[in-house]
Amino acid sequence: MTALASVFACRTSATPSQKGNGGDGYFWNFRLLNKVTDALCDVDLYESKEELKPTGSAVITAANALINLPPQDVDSVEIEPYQGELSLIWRAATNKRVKAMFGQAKNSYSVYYEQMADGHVIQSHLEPNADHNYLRERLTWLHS
Amino acid sequence: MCDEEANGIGDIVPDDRVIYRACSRSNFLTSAKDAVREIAFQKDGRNHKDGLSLALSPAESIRYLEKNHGIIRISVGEIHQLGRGLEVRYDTATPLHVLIRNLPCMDRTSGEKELAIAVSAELAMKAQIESASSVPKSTPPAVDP
Repeated sequence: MTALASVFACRTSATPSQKGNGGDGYFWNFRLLNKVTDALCDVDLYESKEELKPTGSAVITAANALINLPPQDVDSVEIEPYQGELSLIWRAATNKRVKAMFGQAKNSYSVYYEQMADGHVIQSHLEPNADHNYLRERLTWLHS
Repeated sequence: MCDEEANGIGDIVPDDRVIYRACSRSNFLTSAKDAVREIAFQKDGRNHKDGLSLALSPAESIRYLEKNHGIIRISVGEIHQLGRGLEVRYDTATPLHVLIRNLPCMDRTSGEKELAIAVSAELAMKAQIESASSVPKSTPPAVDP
């Protein structure tokens, strides 16, 4: 079973969905799965065929992060593969950004946030040992 | 910073020059194709041992790529004036090739990665779009028999 299928099977079988009951949860997860799959399979997002692809572990962790977020954050996310890493990016206007990164190492989960003014980053931090709670906190900051 | 190699690194490029970078990924530009994204200025130490490659002409920027999704440009002066210690230098081995040196890498320590993400955001804000769609490589003129 692929990494994406694992997430999908896990979330659509035993675990009640946060997005609704029964069919609602199924279709929510299906939409989320499509979103991640579209990005992972988009050859235009890779520099070459030889570029490292995100690992199954990274994909599962990223998908789990998305499942734990409100629908508006799932809808607005940009999904970005980069040299074996998978990133989820959110923006507010042009001056605030949150970027969750899932690397090659198992359980690799880091979250970066920044605020810019006049073309310069005036506030930033990268949390190398992040989790879903930390990501939700930073998204609350992003929307504030 | 992770520029491990210094062979063939030439003089500093003057501030009044504009340099070009091919979009090797579609997401170097926003989906509306009206701005440059940070990923255009991210680099890994394992793939860019001497700096981030740009070119002195749009045609040169796409020369070695199988595909491109457009071209971006940025003023050398704006890179030097960011206050991040970046230098744009000539490549003595390839006349139209230049390198942004001292750019932090994405694949080292978390501290350097944080800096790499921040600097890439500042560079993306300064960069402009030269072409928002794929640019074909110019073919040499046919030779009469």
